[in-house]
Amino acid sequence: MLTLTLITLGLAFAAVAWTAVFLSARAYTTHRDRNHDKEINRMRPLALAVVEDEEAPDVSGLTRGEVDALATLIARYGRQLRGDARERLSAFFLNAGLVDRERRELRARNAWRRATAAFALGDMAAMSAVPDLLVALDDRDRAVRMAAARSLGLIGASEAADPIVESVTAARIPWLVGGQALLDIGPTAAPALRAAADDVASPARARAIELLGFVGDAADARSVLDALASESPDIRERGARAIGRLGARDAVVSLRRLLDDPVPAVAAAAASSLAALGDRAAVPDLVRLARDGAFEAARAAAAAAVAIDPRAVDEAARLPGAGAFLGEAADLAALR
Amino acid sequence: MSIFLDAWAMFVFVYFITLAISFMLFTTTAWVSLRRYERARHYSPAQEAFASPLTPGISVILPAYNEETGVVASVRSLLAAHYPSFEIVVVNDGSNDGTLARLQEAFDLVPVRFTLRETLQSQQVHQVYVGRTQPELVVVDKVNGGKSDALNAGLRVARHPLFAAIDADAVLDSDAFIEVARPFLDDPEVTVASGGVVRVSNGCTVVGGRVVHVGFPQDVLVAIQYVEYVRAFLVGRIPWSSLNALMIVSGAFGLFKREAVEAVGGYRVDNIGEDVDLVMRLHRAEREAGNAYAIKFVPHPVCWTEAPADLGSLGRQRRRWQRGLGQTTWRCRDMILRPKFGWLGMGTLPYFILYEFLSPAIALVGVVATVMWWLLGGLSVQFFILFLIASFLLGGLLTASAVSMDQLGGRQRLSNRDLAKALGYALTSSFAYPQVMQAFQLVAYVDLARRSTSWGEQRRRGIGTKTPDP
Repeated sequence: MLTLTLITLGLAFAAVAWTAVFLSARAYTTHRDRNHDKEINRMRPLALAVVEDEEAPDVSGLTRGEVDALATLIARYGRQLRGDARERLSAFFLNAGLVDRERRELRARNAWRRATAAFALGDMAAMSAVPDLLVALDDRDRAVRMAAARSLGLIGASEAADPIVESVTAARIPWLVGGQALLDIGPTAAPALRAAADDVASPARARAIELLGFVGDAADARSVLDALASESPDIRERGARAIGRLGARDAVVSLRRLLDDPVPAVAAAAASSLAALGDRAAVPDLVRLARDGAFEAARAAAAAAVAIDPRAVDEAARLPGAGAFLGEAADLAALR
Repeated sequence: MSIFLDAWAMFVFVYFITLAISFMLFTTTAWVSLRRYERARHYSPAQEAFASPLTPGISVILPAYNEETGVVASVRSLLAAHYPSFEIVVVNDGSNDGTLARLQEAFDLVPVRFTLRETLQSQQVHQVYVGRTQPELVVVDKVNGGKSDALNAGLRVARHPLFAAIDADAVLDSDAFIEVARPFLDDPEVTVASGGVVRVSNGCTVVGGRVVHVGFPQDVLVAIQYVEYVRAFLVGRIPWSSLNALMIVSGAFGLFKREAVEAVGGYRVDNIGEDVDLVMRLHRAEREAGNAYAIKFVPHPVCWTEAPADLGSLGRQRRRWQRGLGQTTWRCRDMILRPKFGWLGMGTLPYFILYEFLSPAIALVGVVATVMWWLLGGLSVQFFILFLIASFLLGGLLTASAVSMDQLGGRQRLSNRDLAKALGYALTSSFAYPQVMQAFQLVAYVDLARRSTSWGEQRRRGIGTKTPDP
């Protein structure tokens, strides 16, 4: 009875204490957020000046909070900017000492601080921090590695392409993050992707082929063409998609052959790429696949055929035994 | 008799202590995980996924049965979703009100020839429509078959590799899809499903299909549900998600890999808890195949839904949920306490059976035992009252903790006045309300025994206070 009484009193006290602590914490966070919002609003004109003006404004008189608010705003704008404007931002962060501050944070004990720093360096377009970010690609914490990869991509560090491909291959960062970083690096990432695409033993081969489709050029069609004969359906599928993105018209014959692939996803990818290449000669094969193929392949083939030759599909859809896919594709195309 | 009562007393003691410890553990885990998650959002902005050509497309499936009041607002909010590639598939499940007519009027629907995947089955589809100026809107008109059947019909026409199952009366935040897709972006090979938070929209202001002001419900019944939802989602899901042992991705707002769901045969039409049933079958399939997989809860993306405002509708809802839980746990009985199924089998299932499904029965036995004690003169009234107060306080404290966690995260910040009300309801939420819900859940046992499949109807008032015309 005594124990229960004490427990009950303890709980009642805890309820009151908790409410008091929470309300204090909430008052503090509300006050902090309001101040932050005010600082953001005050710094907005200055941030725009940094972005738009040739000459960087003087920030030496700003408080730490104001500098952080300014940096937050500029970083937000900076994600969308390229060229001279981005270089101005980069210079601003460097001269304000913020790059050095974040580089020091990359050695922090807490993983979230290292990740935040790795992330911020990308927003700052901090070229000087590339070696530090390359080291961060091997951090023991996954979030830090992801933030580092993302920032290396945003900075456009071509020397990061090989390490990022290795990280994706070893599954140390998700391929979507690594892949987007490589896309951000752009055509200079192509050699690293080519090497992975040509390496038949690489577990990242399929992804490398897919990404080559985005950043490669017509010369990469050869690496990708070889992929169309791979035993792996995943590689064949991604290879087919990449061909369409590369605009490799020489590959249409190989793509048409893939329309008969036993794996519907591969045939569907081939169909989509034939549409991207505008191969009119493929229309009869696409119509045939739309009529006779498995669901995903037939749907993709119908959509591809109507994209290349809507009239032919409309006529084919009226014929007996045409099936439903051609009609569906024709109706959807008519709405566009 | 006294042996029974003594044994019962010991059981109740152990039950209460283990439940209290579990709640405190969950609450602590939720605090730590939520704080980590909020920090991580600073260095992994989902917004960048919006601009990436690698971000997978989503087919958003809305089953709609007699939803004329809110379906247009829901669809409008979804069409404005901030996501690079998606389609909306509304499945009109044989409504006998103006659901289809409202959609046709609002979106100028055009009938099209259509194809259906044969890997899944559904009731007959009469017609498929597409928005004349919004081809990303697809409306499937079919014979009534229930929510699961409607979802399956939506899957039969869906085009994208991921699909989201959304309730027709739901309103989503603009960044909800980007946020709930985060696990798929971070771990695309492994993630099979992810779910967001469902919150009560009663009391909120909705303009143009978006919640522009978060308000606290005025109605007592709805206000209690508000705090209940906060606790259930933040404290009830985060810990299990961290163990990859999440038993449910809410039917109101979940994102799935379409291929994985097709592989398990889609939604089961003979289980009223279609959401929990699907997730359990996904767990089973992935574990039995030996795959590395993940089913995740994401605490940020919010789906707003109208909570029942009358006791009748609420009771029917809770009976339905209890039936669904019962059916699913029965079907998964071979997974219970099996190490092969990891924390799901060793933790989640036993927990939900003991502390959720059986709690009404245990409570009922407790009432009977208390009366018998009193009749036999063995009940210390003071002790009994103290015990009740202690349990109410503990429950209230943990609910208040969940509300605090939610508010300190700053996502849907209430005004000071509303916050005071929310805390008041949180601290008193263990008194009367859970007992009334348990009474409804007891009736669900009878439903289960009778194999009732009735969904029941919820009286809806329509979300929000103003939705201007386009």
